[in-house]
Amino acid sequence: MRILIAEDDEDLNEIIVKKLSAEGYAIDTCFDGEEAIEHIENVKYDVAILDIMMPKLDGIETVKQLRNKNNMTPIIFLTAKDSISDKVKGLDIGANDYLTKPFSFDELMARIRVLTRTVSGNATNIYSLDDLTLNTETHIVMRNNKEITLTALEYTLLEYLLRNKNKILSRQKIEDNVWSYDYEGGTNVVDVYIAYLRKKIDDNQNVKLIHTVRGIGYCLKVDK
Amino acid sequence: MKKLSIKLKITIWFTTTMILLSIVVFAFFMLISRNTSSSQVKNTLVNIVDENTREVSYDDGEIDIDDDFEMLKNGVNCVVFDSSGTKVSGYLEYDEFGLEKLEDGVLKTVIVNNERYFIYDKLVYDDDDPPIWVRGIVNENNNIFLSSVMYLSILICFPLLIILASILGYFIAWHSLKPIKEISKMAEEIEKSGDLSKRIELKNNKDELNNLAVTFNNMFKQLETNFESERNFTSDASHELRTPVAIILAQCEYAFENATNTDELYEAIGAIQKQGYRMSKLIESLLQFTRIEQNIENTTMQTINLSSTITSICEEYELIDIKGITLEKYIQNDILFNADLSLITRLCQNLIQNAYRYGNENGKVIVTLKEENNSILFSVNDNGIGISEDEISNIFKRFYRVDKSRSDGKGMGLGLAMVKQIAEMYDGTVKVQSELGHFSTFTVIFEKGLNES
Repeated sequence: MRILIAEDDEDLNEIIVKKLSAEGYAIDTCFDGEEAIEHIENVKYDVAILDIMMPKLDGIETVKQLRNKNNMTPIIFLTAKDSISDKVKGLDIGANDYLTKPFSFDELMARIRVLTRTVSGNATNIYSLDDLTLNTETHIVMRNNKEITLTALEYTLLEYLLRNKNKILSRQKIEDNVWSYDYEGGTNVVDVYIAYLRKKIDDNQNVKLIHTVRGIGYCLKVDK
Repeated sequence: MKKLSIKLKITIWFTTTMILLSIVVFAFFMLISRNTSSSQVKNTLVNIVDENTREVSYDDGEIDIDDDFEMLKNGVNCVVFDSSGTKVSGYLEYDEFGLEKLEDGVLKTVIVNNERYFIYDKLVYDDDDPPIWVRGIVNENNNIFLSSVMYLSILICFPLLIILASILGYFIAWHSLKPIKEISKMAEEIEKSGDLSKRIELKNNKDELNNLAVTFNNMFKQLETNFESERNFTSDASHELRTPVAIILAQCEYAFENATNTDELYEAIGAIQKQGYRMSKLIESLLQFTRIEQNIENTTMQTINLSSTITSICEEYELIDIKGITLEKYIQNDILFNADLSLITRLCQNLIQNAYRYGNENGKVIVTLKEENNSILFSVNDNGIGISEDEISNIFKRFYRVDKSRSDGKGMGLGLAMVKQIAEMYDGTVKVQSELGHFSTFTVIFEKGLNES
């Protein structure tokens, strides 16, 4: 899952990136509204977290411009402005959620999950296919009632595949969503991680879930 | 009386005054009318008697009383006596009236049964016959018509007058107190709703109450601005404090849940410490700022030698040697100014400190102090990052920082706000000239004459 952070306070920006990365999100970061627009227009983010009081272009204006261009990227305002009128203004302008500083990461991540749930049309935090389940809240992955331990990146990759189950996803698309800009891995990073996942998910199972679509990419589905 | 409303008090006072006044007027009127009525009664008596004398004559040696003789007219009772004093005609209510001595053309007063009567006699001569007496008797209070009207008017008018007076009094009180009622109503509304933007509606007349309303409105305006700035200050301050708190909490959360080794823990603690310093610095600045705001009355006015004060501040900065900046000073000697020393020091320090903070490495800061045309000019120039045109209007706002991404915990965005506040305390002005990326010059101008008067 790929998330953009736009926050002008360097220290705050840094810790948010650190924490969310540790939770397995792919994070891009910027420090003002203009940069934020540039990022959001070029990459498909699952969620963008914006501060309101930013230099060059404030959060309100940023969201206004994005929505005017019909960009529907889910946006959470993370701001020190806590009056009711600020919240109403922020939400009315087109933000999907509003969180005030100081905040708790637990709450921030719960709200991120809400937005991704809404987009994927899932009613709960549990995504499943056949006997494979993934809980985005606890990060527990089960297959055949047995818990599977995944690394942060493996988890993020599986979550992305599960949220787009039965869809064919190109390597580029997977890379864009799971790895942030500053990742400096090899070009076949997607293939490498898919191989890791296969080993943990599909090995010793009768029903294989991860399928390679030749020349295009991968698809998570139950083969009939 | 203390428990009554002013409206009721005014009504009562007005009514009482009206009643007392009318009693005095009535008494006066009665006194006059009494005098005029007794003289009027006397006149009537004389007239009627005189008229009747024409109706009395002798006919064949007998006293003949014409039909036109009026025995009783307008309360005057007429009696005819012959020359010997024997009653010929007429009715005597009391014997005393007949016993009174007959005197021609004389008007006498007789008291019978505690009532005063007037008696008037007239002799009628008819050729050689013996004269005939005509006597008229009338009660002093005969003027029945006049007095009855008087009593009637008193009986009817008095209650009417009281009612009228109280209605009128109430109306006057109500009308003149109406603006007060409106003022108190508005004040009550403001108290209940806490909405200080409400104002009392003003009428066009320029009476005392209108002045009162204007004073109230001005007071509300003043209160509103004070509260507004207070509220802005609190919201600004809380906003500024939120970010470091958010970072501290986020770092803690990260350290508890995600830190895998001691290096990461140390990093988190370092970040928390940095934010702690930032908050402590901010709180200090906030305190200083509010102290200046609150202690304006507590400042001590004294004659300061601005030249030496600024020289010593400059020397301190030269000693510290920040960012390799060289300080040039052009300070005219012995410029005196009446102000509080600590406030003026703070003003100069803030400006010089800003010049250092936003100046270029190895750059130059120029401090100038001079007196020109009775005004004192203090200016600080740096060749640093400068300020863009659209930012100039914002730089004196509290918590505004030109370079926002600098969260180095140093500038709190309060320095220039303080400079402006202190300058304005002494009727001074602060001017800014700047070009983005090249230079900034801040000039504080004090009018000498203004300050000393």
